[in-house]
Amino acid sequence: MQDNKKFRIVAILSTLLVIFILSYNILQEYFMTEIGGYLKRRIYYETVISKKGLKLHDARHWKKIEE
Amino acid sequence: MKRLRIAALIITIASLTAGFFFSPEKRIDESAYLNEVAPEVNFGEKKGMPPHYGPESGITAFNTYDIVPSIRGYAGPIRLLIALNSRGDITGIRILEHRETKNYVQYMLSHEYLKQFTGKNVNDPFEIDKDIDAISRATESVQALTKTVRESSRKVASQVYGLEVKGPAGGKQSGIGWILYLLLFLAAVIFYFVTRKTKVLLRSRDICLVPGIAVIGVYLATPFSILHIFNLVLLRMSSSALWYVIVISALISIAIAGRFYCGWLCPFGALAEFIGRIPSRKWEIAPETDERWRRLKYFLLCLITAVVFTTRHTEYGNYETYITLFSFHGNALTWSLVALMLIINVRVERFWCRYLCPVAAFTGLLSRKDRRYISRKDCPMANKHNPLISECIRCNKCYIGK
Repeated sequence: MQDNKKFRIVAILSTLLVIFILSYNILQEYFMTEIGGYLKRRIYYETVISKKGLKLHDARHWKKIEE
Repeated sequence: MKRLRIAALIITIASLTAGFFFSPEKRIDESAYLNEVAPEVNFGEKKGMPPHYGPESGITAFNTYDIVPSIRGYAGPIRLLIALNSRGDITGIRILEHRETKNYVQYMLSHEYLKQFTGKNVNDPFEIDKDIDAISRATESVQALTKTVRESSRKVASQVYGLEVKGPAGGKQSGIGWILYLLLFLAAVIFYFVTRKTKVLLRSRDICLVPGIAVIGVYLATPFSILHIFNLVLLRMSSSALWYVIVISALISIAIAGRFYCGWLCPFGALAEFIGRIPSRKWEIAPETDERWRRLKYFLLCLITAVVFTTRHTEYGNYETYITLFSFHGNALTWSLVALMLIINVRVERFWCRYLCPVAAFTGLLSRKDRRYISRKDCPMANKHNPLISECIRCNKCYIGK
């Protein structure tokens, strides 16, 4: 591979990394909360709901009806 | 370069104006956190001089910023909510707001660290390394935090409870960091002017770069960063002498010698350059490709300037590798960038400084024209003949004099 091409790949990669870092700085509060919330829901589903033989989708449907 | 300067100025002014209208500095309502520092106590309205809540059930709560607004961390005041009982013991503490760079103060913000203040009496020494734990790489912030707690709680104990309190604390409260930094800066300036006169001492730049890594990078962990400039523009001054020495010396050096800091003091630049000296074949990059990519750092600087000034969150613009590396704190993305930016120097000299560094862009934008730097084959920035002065780090190898 030519040096110029290798250089371009590294330059694009590092630019992407910088953009990801900046996006992460801005979005981390929301992003981390979302991921945290999802994990909590998932763990609750695995430990409680799935044992009742319900799918996550079904559980949501039931919850909606109860509400 | 003229167009770039104008564009950067317009973006700065426009984003500052936008920030003024859309992101005004919000004053945190400390009353929402009263039950965290003093559970089961019902406070009324804030009253009196100094302003405080209570005393109710023998407890007073106060916002430290109301008492000692002049004590500042590395980027403005650290606002705390403290609960104090009638014997002068701290019964609860919470950080309300701060602007310190998170990489450095992550542990200081934790509950584990703050709980050492709970139970302390206002007449305790509050001295770092004695009764308060020091945190390496966050010395200035920890000093400001400790001083804020000590001075504000003593004032409240004296003026609200009428307790007899000690005067200003003795002991060493401010470090020698600023003296070390200043000495290193002055040594670099002297060598800079000497090497303009004689080429014999060109190696003296290494004598500055090595202590640059050791002192500015590892020991003080405070390389000059674009966040210094953002905080300066947003008037988030520090009460740390080191902060002023770093900012003032950087601005003076830019006015006199453009990217002098990059070439003589920057610890990350020094690491990059030393890695680049490992004998290996360097990639041959076409001049037009090289020139085009060098503009990237200006684009990134404009981008983070717009984001930071519009949102008033300096931490949003933090992608600088030296902050991650020397604070020893970062995430997978920032550490990946650090690793890449160090390794790539084996093939491309000073990659970070040439293409991505926001400090390089800032100092480059403010560099004055100097045609006496003509560049030569062993240029540490791999500059071509007669380069733009904004790309010259003033190593003086190619300086031709009058």
